[in-house]
Amino acid sequence: MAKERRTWSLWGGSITRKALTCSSEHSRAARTDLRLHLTLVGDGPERERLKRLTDRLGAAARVTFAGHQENPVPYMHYADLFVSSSRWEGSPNTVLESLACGTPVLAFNCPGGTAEILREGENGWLVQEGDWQGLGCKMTEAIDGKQNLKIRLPEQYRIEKVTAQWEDLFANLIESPAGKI
Amino acid sequence: MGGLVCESYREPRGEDLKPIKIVHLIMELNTGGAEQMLCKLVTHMGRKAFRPMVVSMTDRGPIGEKLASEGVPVLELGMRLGRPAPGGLLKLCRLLRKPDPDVLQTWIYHADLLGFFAGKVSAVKRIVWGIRCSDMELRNYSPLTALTAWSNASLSCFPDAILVNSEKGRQVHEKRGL
Repeated sequence: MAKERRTWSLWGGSITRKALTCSSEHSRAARTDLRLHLTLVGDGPERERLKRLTDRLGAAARVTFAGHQENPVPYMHYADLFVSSSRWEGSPNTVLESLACGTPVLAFNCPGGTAEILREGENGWLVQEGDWQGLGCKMTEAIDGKQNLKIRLPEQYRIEKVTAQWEDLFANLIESPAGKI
Repeated sequence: MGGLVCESYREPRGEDLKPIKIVHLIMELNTGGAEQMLCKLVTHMGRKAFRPMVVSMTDRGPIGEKLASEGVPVLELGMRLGRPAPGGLLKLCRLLRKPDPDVLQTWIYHADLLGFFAGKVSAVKRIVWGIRCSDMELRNYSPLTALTAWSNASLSCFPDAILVNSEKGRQVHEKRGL
């Protein structure tokens, strides 16, 4: 039997936004590809419904509900793939943190900054927002294609760079006579 | 930020300059993305040149505890989520008098709006709004959030700067009138 693969997804408390509907596609993918194991990190009011759904799909043995984790970094390192199923985002920390851990990202091309971070086939993959079936199918493909990727956090998102930008901004604001910059 | 492009680079501030006092205002300090970013930012900024203080509109939360353990002053307004409270505005105005901040940095719509009024009343030198979302579906949020976003668009010419953390976020908010 092929080596077991590990997908990982983080869903926070904002259930609508994190789009738990896709759990069924996660579960279907895990059921049909026996190499997949899905670990869900995070919590929310939909947790019990999700568990029941996983049972109903016969994928309970291949899905782990890790609950809320103060430090999700070990999960990020352990995973072969991070799946972000948000329906909209700003500049998602989870995506950035996964890349910083060397873990590629499969995400919905949702409204927001996710597409600004991910480069198709370089550090991750994008699927049309709302295409749950496509997301499920892409998991196996993404994990199989992972070996060819050299994952790293884009330079402009490193905390040192970001902090320097804020420091410059505040200094410029104070030193600018009109205030506005 | 994590998306802001500040074109003009300045040399680091000299030792003889007074530290810039920054008050960060945010709705809550639980484990959301903005809260985590605030924590990273405040703990990574140079303490000689910048003196941060964090104000939560609600309670301290786990991020507040973490910031406090790093020596960052954390204050709470004690407001309740989804409940506009004039008392919170008054409390913030009083809080802002003492540190007399150089910059009031607000994080996301509700804090942007509250911080704008409190900052103006308290004559804070510079007010900077922070936007950390893009095309969020406002129908999934409370009417109060939608109203706040609309009000911010009307007031957006007054802050000294508005920060976004993605290009998409900038485009969407410009279309909304910010």
